[in-house]
Amino acid sequence: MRKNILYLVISIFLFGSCQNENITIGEGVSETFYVQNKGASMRVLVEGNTASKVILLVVHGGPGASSYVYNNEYFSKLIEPKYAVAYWDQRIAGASQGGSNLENHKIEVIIEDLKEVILTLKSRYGNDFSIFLCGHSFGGMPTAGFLVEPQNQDMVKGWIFANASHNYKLNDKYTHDKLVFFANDQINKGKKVEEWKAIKKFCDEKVPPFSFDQSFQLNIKANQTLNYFDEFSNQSAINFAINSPLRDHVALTSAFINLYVSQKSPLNKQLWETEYSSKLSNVKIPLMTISGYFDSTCPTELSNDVYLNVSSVNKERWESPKSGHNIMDKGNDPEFFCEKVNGFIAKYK
Amino acid sequence: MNAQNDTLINPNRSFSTNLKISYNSSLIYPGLRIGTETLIKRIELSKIKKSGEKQIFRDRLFTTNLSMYHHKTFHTNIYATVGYTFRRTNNKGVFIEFCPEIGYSRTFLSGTTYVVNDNGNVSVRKLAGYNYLLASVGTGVGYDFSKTKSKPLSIFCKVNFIAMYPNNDFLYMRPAIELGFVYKPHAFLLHKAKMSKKSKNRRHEN
Repeated sequence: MRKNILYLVISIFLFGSCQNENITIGEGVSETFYVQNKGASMRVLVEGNTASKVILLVVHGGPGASSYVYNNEYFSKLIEPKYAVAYWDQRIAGASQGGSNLENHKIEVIIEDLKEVILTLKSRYGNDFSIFLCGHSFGGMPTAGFLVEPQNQDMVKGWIFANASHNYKLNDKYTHDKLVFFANDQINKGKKVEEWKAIKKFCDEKVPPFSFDQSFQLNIKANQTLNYFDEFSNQSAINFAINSPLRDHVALTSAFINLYVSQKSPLNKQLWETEYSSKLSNVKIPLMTISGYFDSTCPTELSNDVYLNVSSVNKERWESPKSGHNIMDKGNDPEFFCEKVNGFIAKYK
Repeated sequence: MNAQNDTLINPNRSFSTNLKISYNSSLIYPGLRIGTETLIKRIELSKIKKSGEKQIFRDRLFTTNLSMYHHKTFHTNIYATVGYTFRRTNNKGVFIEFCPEIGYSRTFLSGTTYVVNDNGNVSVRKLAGYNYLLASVGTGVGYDFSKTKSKPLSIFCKVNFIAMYPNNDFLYMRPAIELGFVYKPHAFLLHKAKMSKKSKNRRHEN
């Protein structure tokens, strides 16, 4: 029994040291910390050049996907040597942990989490750090929700809207249109004809206004079509499985379980009923939208809605001619993405 | 046709409590496990076959365990469990076992944890982590040196599946691999166990 108590005391001492505050200003930084809010402890990994006093905060997709997949060789080689990147696992995503907290899985709480992550980054590294938000896919929703509040815009220097969404119902319309367009185009070209005929049949059976279930199915079909094109390859899952688990100490079962819980969460219904198009005119900070031509999940037209409706004086929009939904991933157009991100940050930091 | 005879044996025999220690790796993340094993029931099964008599021991053990693993950048998990082990050992000393366990887990986040108050002030939360109800099932193989070499030692390898509740209103699950030793002291926390002997004889009828 004495041995057990001694062991427990030693263990508490050992892991207590893991929670000591280590803050590094320099190049090649890699440090993990957690931000706790409303029943969730959210992992934040900061990697790269903190001496630049610039942090690109990645707001991942999903909901429930994790930030692990963004920390790829392109971010590491092309962005991190110049700037620091904060990979944030939202609540019920990636390595984020919690008890009974599903009642807080709401868009307004995720926006609050985002604010607290920014405050924490500034508290850790310095108030003089410039923070840029990069929302990918679903990550467009919390970034838009955060930035349409004018007082929040003082906390960040710029907004990158990458293959993202800010309005699910508008998203459904554009996804449907794009699927029909690609189905006709690919059938005419004689490429994967049977697969595209099935997509066309699916689209013909669904007409606006789309129900919540149809919205969900449209999203699944759009993701499915990412595997039908010859122009790019959808390698994110393979790339992640090969490169990341050991290097990043990925909490693999946590990431999968959180993804499962998130997909069943009432948040999805709430998101379907949420839109930020009507408030985008409040946004005045520099904006860059970047999308992929072959992306039916969050088509370029959705990015254009953001681009056209913000009040920002400084704004730019880019579309990669050889990318699908995950523009920053291998097989899409990660070099193009990193080049545009670096250029945008350099202009407005 | 088989015939079976049951006999209670040595009702007053005392057994020592076993001590075990193992490397408790949650795949590549290191950990440690210590515990005890108390024999509750043993059935000695004799099977008489053409090739000779074979003896099999079916043990039921009550176990107590204190375990931990450290997953860098995720969490350190310390958990205490009690379990009931089903172990089958042959006369060569090779055993297989199945071990359901239940207990309490406390995790500690692997990183400084911050909280932000209503005024936007950021502070560090010490010893941040979560409490969970933990259940695990494990299965393993081992070798008991006391059966053939009269050494009070066993080695074993076990795979455990751990489930913790509540984690984000659901379960957290992960596998863990255990490699360890069981030491059988001569007399440590002596206790009685229910002993019985069964024999199975093969009879041939024409």
